[in-house]
Amino acid sequence: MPYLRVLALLLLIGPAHAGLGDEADISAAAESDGNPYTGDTEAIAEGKSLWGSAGCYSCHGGVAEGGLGPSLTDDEWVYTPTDKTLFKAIAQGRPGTNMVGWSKDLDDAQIWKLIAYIRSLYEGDPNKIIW
Amino acid sequence: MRTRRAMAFGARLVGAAVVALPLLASGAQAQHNVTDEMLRSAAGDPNNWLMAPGNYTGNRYSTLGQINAGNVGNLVPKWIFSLGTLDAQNTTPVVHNGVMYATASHGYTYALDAENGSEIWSYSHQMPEGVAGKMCCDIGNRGVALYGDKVYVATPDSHVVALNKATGEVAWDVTIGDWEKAITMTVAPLVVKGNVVVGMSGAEYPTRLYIEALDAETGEQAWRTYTIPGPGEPGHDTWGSTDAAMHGGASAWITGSYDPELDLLYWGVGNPNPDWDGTVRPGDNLYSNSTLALDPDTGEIQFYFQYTPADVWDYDGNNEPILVDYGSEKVWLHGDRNGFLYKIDRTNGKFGYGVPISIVNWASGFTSEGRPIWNMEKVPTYDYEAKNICPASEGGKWWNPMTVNPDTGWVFVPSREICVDIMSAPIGAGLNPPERTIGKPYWGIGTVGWNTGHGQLVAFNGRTGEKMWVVKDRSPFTSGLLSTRGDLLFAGTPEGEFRAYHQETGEELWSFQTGSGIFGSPSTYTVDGTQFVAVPSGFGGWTGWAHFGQGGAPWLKGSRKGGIIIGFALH
Repeated sequence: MPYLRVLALLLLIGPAHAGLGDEADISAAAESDGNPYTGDTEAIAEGKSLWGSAGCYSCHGGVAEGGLGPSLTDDEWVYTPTDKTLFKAIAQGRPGTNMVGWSKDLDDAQIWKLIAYIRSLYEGDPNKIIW
Repeated sequence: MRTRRAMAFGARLVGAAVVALPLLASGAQAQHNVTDEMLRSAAGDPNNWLMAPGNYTGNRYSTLGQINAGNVGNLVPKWIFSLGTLDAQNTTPVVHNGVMYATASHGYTYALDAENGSEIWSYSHQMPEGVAGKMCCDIGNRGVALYGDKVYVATPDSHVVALNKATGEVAWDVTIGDWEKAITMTVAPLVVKGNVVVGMSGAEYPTRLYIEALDAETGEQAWRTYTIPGPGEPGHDTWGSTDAAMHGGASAWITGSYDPELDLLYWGVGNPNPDWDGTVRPGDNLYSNSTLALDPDTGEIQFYFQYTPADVWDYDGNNEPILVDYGSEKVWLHGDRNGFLYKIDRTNGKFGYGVPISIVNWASGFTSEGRPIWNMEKVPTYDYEAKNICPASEGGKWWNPMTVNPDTGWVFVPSREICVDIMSAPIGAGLNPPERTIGKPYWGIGTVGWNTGHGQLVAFNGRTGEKMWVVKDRSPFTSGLLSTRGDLLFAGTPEGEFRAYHQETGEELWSFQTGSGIFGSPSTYTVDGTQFVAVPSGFGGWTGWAHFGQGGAPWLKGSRKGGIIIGFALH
């Protein structure tokens, strides 16, 4: 039976929020358009921990399968899901939706690690992977 | 006027005056104040729908019968009003003298012509960026209250705002909670004896929540009653520690009921925090999962009934108490998310009965006082996954209000048969944060998976608790219900179907596809002698039950959002 499974014990988040970026920093990070942590096992594990501690699950589901917010594991995206697009969505939110900006809670590295975790859950068409 | 559309509002004010004058000139629906007497007599005033629950009993019943079981097949949409936003459209349209007052998601409130759906004014509450991130279950709102010359609305960022009923201008705006600590609001206020009563949301976070009354004229606080007793107060020791008590949630986001004769205000209280982990809060956790009987003048708790002590299933007993008289027997009926329908003596809080709405296996029965007897196989722990717990957290009966026909005494319950597998987890494990943090969700989850089920409408003889009929449907019924003297029962589904059933048999008589899921509640009223039925449509709110794990109703994943109110009348 396919359950929403989570680790029994997740990694503690390190001392967060050091180096939280202002809007200019966010833009700079996003403009790099490349996630330095894609495929990094350690970063993905930290991203998974952040998924829980930041409360992403309350909208997007325990493993990003979707709930109040959309699924992040499939290939149905309104906007082309580049790293830059995901970074800006997490950092600054999506106006007019429930997706608020998390840049006050997550620093740039943490956002990239969250994205690395989201990418690790991908179940869509492999030909649509652009990261 | 603090609205996101402030510049446009000036033009709208002019327009409102222009629109209002013909209404007055025609003599059709003159604007005037809503009085205490009108609120007390709302059940006998079917031309208006003066408060979200319809009247002080909360029964969502109308004596109108122009639309009835014989002609409902001729019911057609007369107008459609766009709410202008997406996400959870949880409102109940309130109507006075031909003007409808309704809220939308994302902080909007509207007045519109209830005959043709044209806008009279709008109010858009300017909210701080980030507030949606402090709400577990969407940025919806359940409706307004009317009193005097004002309209009252609670906002996501914990303001209570009084608006001029004729123009939408802000009369007062007070802040009663800190949204950054995840103390938020979705409730439709209830005005009782000149006070605007509201309750707070936020029990998926470490909070200590409350019910509050404000002077309707000034916004000044009349009283605040915490739903968790403070140190030294009776019941405080039911949490195991002061620390647990002062962060134990116990929300109050469903509009209560009022008995003018007994002069008691009845208000529901929701789940303790963390939702699924009782280890950190050993005890009954008063007054979580209870209905409180309050002195409406002081907020003092007179008595209570607790449905699910020491909750580890997120049964969240906020749900509405509907006041019903069976001869000399004065009771409230309450459909709980724990799967039981209750009858409670509203003069003293004594247990009458508890009967299953849906399959219930977490409890094997009740003590004579109404305390549930646990089935320990269905109690999740850190190292034990309790499988197929019935019902899941949403019931039974979810928050969507049921309706009672006081003529027959029957109660109609929007319901579902969905069960769940749960394992809890301590802080730092599962989906929990590494440490309890104010403003961060804390659910106590290790693993959770909803199992696929179905929806149902259930009718009971409320006097006896006898189940009269059950109508099954693929999806849970997610609207509030409306019953009328026309033998009709109106209900909506998350798939967008708005339906009329025969109250006596459950036979489906009519349906209309509204285009998006129905998560608000219908109301009915007249304009110039014509009966209308209005229903909001717009998918949203907590829908994890539909998708998470196997999913209670996985076909609802990705459902189209929307945001409209439709006004129906006979062809």
